[in-house]
Amino acid sequence: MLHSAEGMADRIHKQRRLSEFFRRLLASPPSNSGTEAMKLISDTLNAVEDELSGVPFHPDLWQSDGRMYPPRSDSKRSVPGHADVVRFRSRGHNVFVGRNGAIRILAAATPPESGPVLFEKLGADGRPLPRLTKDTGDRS
Amino acid sequence: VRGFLRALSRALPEASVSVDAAEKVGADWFLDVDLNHHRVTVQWRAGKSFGISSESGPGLGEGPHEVIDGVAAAVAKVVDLLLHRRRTTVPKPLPLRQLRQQRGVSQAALARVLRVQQCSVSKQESRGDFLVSSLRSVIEAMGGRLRIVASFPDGVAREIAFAKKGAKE
Repeated sequence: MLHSAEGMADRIHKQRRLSEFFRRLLASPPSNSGTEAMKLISDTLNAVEDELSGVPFHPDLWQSDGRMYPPRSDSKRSVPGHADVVRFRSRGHNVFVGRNGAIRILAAATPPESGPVLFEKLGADGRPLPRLTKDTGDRS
Repeated sequence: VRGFLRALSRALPEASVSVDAAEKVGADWFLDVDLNHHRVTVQWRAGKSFGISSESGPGLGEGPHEVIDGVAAAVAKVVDLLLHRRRTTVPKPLPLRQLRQQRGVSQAALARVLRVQQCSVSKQESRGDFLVSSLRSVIEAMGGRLRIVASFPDGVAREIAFAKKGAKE
């Protein structure tokens, strides 16, 4: 699973942009609702990519152009057992957004809620998203 | 998607597949295929063929690295990536000849659409310099759209809009 030198440079550059996106997202005031949280994610990521990616904004392209894009509204999925949380799937990530404006971004995994947490932000009510891993029936 | 899953299970029964179905019509389905902890993600959207990527990486919201037409070709690509633990990458710039071949367009077919001789297409593909209008014709003859982007060291990138023939500022 070796990366080419070019592939590695691209990966490092993108990792820096992603870290900058997380830094700005965390520094922003918390959101009051899921809609507000999605707007915050979109505005922040688009600003980072406009400044740092060198790739023009073309969200209509399906194939990768090397730029990062906010979750598409049609990629929304319901989260079983959590009516107040929605999930947005992209190739390598799952973005979970709560009705209270809380955000959690995970690397893609199976099941979706089991991936490593890359980013977490509380909602405006000061609460994080609930634990989303499947209920094992353990009530202790 | 069902056809893809059937063909993949025949070709590589030991691979595990998780289907993350779209909840809206016209949205992307994701098929996460794993073989010995090497993961390949297949995206499918009606009318868009199969998008294939082996590298999840840090690119939030990035589209697929490769787009492949047809179930058989898509399955063959996924099997190759899994068995040889290969990785896909963001598409790189291509010479015109390779781009044409990748689009499955022959020189003869392109020549017919452009109303030139096949040898002109061949010569054109070896050229290092082009009139923008000529390049636009070639790309449009392949069914695409030409975009020219200027990138600057400060990260700004802008697509250039060319004045239409005869238009005055």
